[in-house]
Amino acid sequence: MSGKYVLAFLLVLTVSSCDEGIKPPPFTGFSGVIRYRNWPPADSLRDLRIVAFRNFPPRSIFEEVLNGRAVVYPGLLDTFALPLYVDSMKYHIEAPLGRFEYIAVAQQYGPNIFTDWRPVGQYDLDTNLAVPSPIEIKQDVETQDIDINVDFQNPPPRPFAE
Amino acid sequence: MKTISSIIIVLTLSSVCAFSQTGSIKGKVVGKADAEPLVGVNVIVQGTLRGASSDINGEFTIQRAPVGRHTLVFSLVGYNRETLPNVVVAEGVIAEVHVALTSAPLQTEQVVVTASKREQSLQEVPVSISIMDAKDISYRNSTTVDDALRYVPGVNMTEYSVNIRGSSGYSRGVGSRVLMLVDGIPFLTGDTGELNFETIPVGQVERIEVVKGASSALYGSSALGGVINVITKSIADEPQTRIRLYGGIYGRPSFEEWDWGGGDRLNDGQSISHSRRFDKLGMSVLLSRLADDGYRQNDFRRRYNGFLKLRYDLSSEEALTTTFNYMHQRRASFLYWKNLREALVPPDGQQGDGVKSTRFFASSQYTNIMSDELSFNVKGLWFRNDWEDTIDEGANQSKSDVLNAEVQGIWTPDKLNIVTFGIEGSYDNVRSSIFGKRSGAGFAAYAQDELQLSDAVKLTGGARFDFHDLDSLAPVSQVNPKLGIVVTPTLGTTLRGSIGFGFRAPAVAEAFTSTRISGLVIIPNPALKPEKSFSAEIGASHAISDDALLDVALFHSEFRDLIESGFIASGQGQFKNVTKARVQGAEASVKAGFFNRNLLLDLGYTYVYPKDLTKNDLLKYRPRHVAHASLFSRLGFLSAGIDYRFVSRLDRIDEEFAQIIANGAERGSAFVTDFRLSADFSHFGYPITTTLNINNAFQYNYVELIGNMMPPRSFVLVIEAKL
Repeated sequence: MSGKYVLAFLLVLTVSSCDEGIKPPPFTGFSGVIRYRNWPPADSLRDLRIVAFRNFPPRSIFEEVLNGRAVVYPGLLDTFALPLYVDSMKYHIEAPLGRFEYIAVAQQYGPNIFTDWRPVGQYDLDTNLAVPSPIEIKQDVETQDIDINVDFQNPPPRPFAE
Repeated sequence: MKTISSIIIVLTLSSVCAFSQTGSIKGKVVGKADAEPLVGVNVIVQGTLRGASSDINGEFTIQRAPVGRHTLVFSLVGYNRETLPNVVVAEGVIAEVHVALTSAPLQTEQVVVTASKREQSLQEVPVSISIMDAKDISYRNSTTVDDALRYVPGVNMTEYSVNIRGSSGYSRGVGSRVLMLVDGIPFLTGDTGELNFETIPVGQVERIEVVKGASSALYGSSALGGVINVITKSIADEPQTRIRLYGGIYGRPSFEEWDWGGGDRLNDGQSISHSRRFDKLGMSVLLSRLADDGYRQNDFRRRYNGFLKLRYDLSSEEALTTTFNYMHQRRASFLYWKNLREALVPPDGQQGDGVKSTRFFASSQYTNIMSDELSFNVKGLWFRNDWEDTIDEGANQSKSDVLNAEVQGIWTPDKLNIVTFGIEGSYDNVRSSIFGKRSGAGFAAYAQDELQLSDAVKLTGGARFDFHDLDSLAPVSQVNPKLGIVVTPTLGTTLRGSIGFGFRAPAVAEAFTSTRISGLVIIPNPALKPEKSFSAEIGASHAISDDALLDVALFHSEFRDLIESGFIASGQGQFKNVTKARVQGAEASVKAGFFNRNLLLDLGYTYVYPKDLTKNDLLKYRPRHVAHASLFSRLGFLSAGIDYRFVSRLDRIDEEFAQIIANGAERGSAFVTDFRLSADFSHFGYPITTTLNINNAFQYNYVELIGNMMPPRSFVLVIEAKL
């Protein structure tokens, strides 16, 4: 057996490694970074979720989610919340196609899981906090840079009644 | 790879009992081609337990050889075995011999100790054995034994579960169908019954022998699919200090989606070891540290090892060896990915999970040759295993102690038979929040005879009786026989065949786990029975030329009562005896040298057909095709190598588990290529070697286990100094 056949054989094997293998699947949704300031005490921080609403202003988080007019992350049935007491976090949320008028980080501050919620940050491209910025979700496209600044001491206006 | 010298100790020891009529044999061994002295040549007085190993000058001395006419057998890796008949030993006289060995086909004279619990040539063994030595481990910068095993033909790793020829799938760190030994002593954790690789400092590993196929006839429980024997380094005759430093960095993930913002992920390690003798006392000590950021979020580890080996020569023929080993580790726990879009990030609820463990073992061995025909070896081990985690709902913790003791004898009643026999006892005690307070004990007795029927035919037969009593489980007893044959029709060709039985007693964790993981309740099963197996193999090795060796094997295994975890009617999880299985396959390997062996090629391929006879389907976590290719070349002070591994896509995984993990069914074949480049500066008088490893050089993305992406490309620089 000649050495050149050995080298040729190994070259064939090596080339087979050049395929990348497993790849991330196409993603339809949005992503960004949440930056936090002024974290509150733990007893007023019962839960923290990202919510994307179809309408603005929404009626309530639960009503909008249960009627398919909002996406919440982590999901309603998930027992864990977003990481707490971190400086920032990256997120990726799968979402259905179409326009979302209002993207917010919502804090549950009291024991009532239906009513004790308030927004503590929202996606906004300008300084007019009364009107948040919308996003458009397209098929197999990750709408990126939907960054949200959360300041627990200076939250945006609360648009929902409960 | 002149490792023979390191394990000749058993043969060179003899009793303090006076031998009434003895003499000595002195000699020198050189290479026939260049007349240069050969170091580490194994010299044995045929039909006795007497032997020696040649020193740096090629010289050896066999003391207290029995008076009479003898045949000496000389063997060394890379050289043909030579026999020198009619060496006459007279009382009080030193017989002198001079032998020249001829170069032989690659690796035909490798020496192993695991197949028969005694030293023998690889060519005399009726089962398939693969060997990985310290050079291979160091060259690849394997930081744990399981890292090294990924390059052994016929072995496939699923995370930390070892699968030899399809015997095992993935056991979630509970139970093992492969038995691991450290210097011949069983080394499984007392609570989970798993192989614990991280405890063993690879810097002290001389070589790893992997026996493929059921081996319970000598080793008892857990040797269902094979045995891994980790042999630690002998104490150096001359003072020797080694310092080993490495540092590396993981490459960026292939896709932006996988870049989780962890920055540069680094790993590094340091170890220092020293070995020397003070007259009759020899010692080796090693301290090492490892730090690995991990390439995934919440996947770091920090590990500290301390190792001490002491050997005291009670006389020129008796020795006592004692080993202490300590390991402390803190690591995060990455169970599975969040989803395939965020493949290097755990689910949010698992952030911060981790495990802290402290493990310690002490072992001792005493060897004594009672006469020219009879030797004894007494050995024992204590293994303390202590861990606690912060996974899921509250911390789990477990402490376990395993005690193992064995008395082994080797009897050579005549020049045709070698009988190995022994008794073994074990005790296991567990105190755990999830396994409860449990204890168990075991007893075993075994015997094996190797009969040299003729110069070309050798038969091996033996059996072992095992009794196990684990807490409230019903006590079990088992007899496992074995039979093997080796035929050497011509020089360079060996045919082998073997059949053997295996069994595995349930581990404490399998029988008594009571916990809750992510909402899943796991309950005990006090009705668990041992797993049982039967395996058969035929194989052949043939020296195609002086520079090429071919080895082929066909194997067949049957398994009964395999223990698997699953759901019961109540929706709870439990370990159960559920599966009957058949695994058949073939294995081929080629070792070849080119250009005066400056270019070495090593190829291996294993095909496995793992059938689940209960479900009439394939077994889980068994790849059907595993192949590897290694190329190594040396040019002056530089050497370079390529390692290539192929593992075919898993036909079946744990489908129930995959359903509860996002993208859990995602998997594919693995094609992994590693590059090495090494410079040995001892050519210039500096005892330093540096090696650059580029692992997964082509950044192939693959999973071994559900939701667990394997490492991306990484670069590691190793600097090793031998003082």
